Amino acid sequence: MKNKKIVATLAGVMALTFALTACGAQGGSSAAKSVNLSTSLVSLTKATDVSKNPSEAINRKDTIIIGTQDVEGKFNLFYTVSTYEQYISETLFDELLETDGKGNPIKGLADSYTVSPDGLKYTYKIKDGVKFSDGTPLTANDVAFTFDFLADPHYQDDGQIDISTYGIKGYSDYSTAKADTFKGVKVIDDKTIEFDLDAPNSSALLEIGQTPILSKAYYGKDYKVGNPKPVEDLLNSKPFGSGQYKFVAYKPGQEVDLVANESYFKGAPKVKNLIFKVNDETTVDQELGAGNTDIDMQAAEPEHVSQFDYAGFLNVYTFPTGTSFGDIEFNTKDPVLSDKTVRKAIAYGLDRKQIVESVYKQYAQVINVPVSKASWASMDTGITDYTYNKDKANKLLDEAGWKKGADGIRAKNGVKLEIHFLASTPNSVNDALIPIAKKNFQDLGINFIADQMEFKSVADKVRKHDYQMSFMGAGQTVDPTSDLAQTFKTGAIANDFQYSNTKVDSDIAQAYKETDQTKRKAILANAYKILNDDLPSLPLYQREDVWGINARISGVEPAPYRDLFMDLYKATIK
Amino acid sequence: MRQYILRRLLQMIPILIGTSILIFMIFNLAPGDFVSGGGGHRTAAMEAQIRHAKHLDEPEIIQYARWASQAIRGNLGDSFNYNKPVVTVINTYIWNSFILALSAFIVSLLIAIPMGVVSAVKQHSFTDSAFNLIALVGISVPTFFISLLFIKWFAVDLKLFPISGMTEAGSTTTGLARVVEVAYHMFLPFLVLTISQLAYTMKFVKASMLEVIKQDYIRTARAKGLKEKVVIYKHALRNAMIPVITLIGLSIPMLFTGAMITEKIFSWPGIGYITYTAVFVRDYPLLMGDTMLVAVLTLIGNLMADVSYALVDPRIRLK
Repeated sequence: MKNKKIVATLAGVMALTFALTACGAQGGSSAAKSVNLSTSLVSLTKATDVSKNPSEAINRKDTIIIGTQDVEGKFNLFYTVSTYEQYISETLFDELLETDGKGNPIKGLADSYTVSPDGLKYTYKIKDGVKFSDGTPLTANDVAFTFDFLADPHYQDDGQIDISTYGIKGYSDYSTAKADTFKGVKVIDDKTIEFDLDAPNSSALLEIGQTPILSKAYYGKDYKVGNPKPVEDLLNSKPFGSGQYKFVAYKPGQEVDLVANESYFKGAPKVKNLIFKVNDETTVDQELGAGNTDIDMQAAEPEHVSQFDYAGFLNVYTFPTGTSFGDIEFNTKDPVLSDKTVRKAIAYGLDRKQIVESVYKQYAQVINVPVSKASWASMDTGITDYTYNKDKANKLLDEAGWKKGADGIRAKNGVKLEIHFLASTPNSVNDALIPIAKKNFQDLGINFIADQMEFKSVADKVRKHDYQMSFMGAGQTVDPTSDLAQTFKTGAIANDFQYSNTKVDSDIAQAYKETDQTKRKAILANAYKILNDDLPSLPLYQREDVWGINARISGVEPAPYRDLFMDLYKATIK
Repeated sequence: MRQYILRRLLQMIPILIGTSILIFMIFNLAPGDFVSGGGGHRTAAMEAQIRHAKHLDEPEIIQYARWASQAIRGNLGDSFNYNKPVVTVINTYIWNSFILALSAFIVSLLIAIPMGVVSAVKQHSFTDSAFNLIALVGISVPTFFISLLFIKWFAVDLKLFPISGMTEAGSTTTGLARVVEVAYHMFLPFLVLTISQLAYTMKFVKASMLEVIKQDYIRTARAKGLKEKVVIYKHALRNAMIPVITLIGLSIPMLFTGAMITEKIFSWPGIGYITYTAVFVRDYPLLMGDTMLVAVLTLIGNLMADVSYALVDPRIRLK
């Protein structure tokens, strides 16, 4: 008997210990001042106590270690979809044009460009003295080779860059092996390359400009048109480019090692070695806090931000992500949801603020137009806010002819108002959304049923339009026009809502023709206003990212539309 | 015996064929394929091209036949995701899982067997209750939690071990220094896996031991005047080990499947997380290759367990 009591006590103590580990030193209140950087919506909390910098980090004088995830051995934009591998690609390759922190085009390999008045001819001039990392010069022939490769009839078997939408002349013939030259890509001289388009396309400047350039000599050696495998193998195992750093080694699942390219055209990197070290999202905070990594990031949630701040020796940056926002998709051909009034009722009747705050607290905001807050095209005037209003929602549903029955559920023509919500799992937003939506919809007299399944199944069903309502993260690029075209244009591939509005289509077409960004902004704003009224999707939130950079590193800063990896050559270690 | 083994090996062939068909069907039942839901801004034409290149637009029977005819010749195809041969991808990661799993397996056995024996022999004592408690904790607390807890205690707070990874970033060690470095990095995930396996094995050994101790021949041995130590360790333990041998044989495939959660948290580059992601992205060639490997190992493990059982227990006659 006695030993049973002792064991029981032991058990109780152990259980308590486990429970208490959940509490324990939370990130302390950092009273460090928040600085708003002038470039964009970036907020910086400077390191409060650099003396806390661990010796591991301090002793590392010639190496920067960057925490990364999702590395599968394809660190080039040609074959990867992983954001982390894209970061590595940015250190290995260069592009004709780049973007600044706000998404505006700036010089890259090209130090000038011209667009013909009819919008059909784009000419880029390559800077003098640009070399690949082995000292050989980068010329217009390399640019032409890159585009020939991208148009190879079998590149798209595995490749991820799709230039078919750029509208370059001759693409269709070359990529279907009907022609043996890519007519729209013209080498004028060693430094000048010209692209001819079928029709004016304002997105082409950056679409073409932001293509990483491959060395014809290196990748073209064993390459024959129609068989991109030799190039693919080189890119995925021994990538070579003109970029800030040179590829040294890849340890699968562990790290990617790079060394400075002394002949980099913008200036040799000040830090000799770069290591992208794989760590899991659950250990990002710990690795940064122990000085094992120098740079890493998380989706901005209070626990991560406070952990970063708590370290004391990290400069902590938060800003709205340019690459995605969250929105709720409606199948506008569904019998229940085809009625705009019902969609509006849902917009008013769903407490989006509560959902967003419960996941991201102060690090996200509710949005009402399908564009990132970080984009130059972002706008918030002349649109409806759809602030949570139960009464308004109920009134709209009454107007739509859905009458509340005795059981509190609305019905029309004998059919009950029931909505199935397709939710991917695991997903922290859906976890917060489902209970809140259930309660909100109950108040509206709608029977809300959540169908949870893993991501691909949801994505497949949504793509096949076999759904009513779903939550998705909408991936965005630096170009809002093509984002709109891919998503809301009639018949667009990502138009999961089966939405069609000729006014939006014509706005999109007009935006493609308009090369002046200010004028384009106004055209896009028109489209956003229509979408805000039609509600094929209900925008949910714009969230933030948090980056932690070890304070002994200076010279680089993250921004929504310019990854800090583009500027690592400027980084210095104190 | 030889005939038995031969017959079992021949039986494996239809079993493997049937397994491969079943697995292929199950994977195809899930909605979506490698192409769906991915790559944001792809056109429909591009998606069609990718599907065509990967034969995803063919009827499933044809896809299976294609896979099977290659597999028989030892070619497991190329992974959709890695664009490399499946064999290469598996080979890159599986040995990392193996060394981790094997170390944990051996040590957990070495600890669990004595624990189970003592627990059985000294049933209802304080030691027994304490061991039971440890087992309960090992079984109930999720590996996810234990992993993060150990990271916090031993890596972050006490700084005794690394937080994650198999080697130090930028490490250039070779030979013995490399072995030491890997072992050092392996210690925490090894500890987590040992503790969770230990719990099950200990209970298993204890149950088996209790069964044996109740037998009449043990009572006879005691009655003969043999020392208790001889009774337990020479007679009882040997017979109690028979089911444990079966357990070992059946655990062999587990050494190659990777501990998905533990590997993920410790960023241990093993096959577990690779397979997990492969399910989510519908990388069929990699999944088929990996599952068939486990199927083969399971059949071999079963065979080894049955054969060793027969070798150890004279009452068994294999037909």
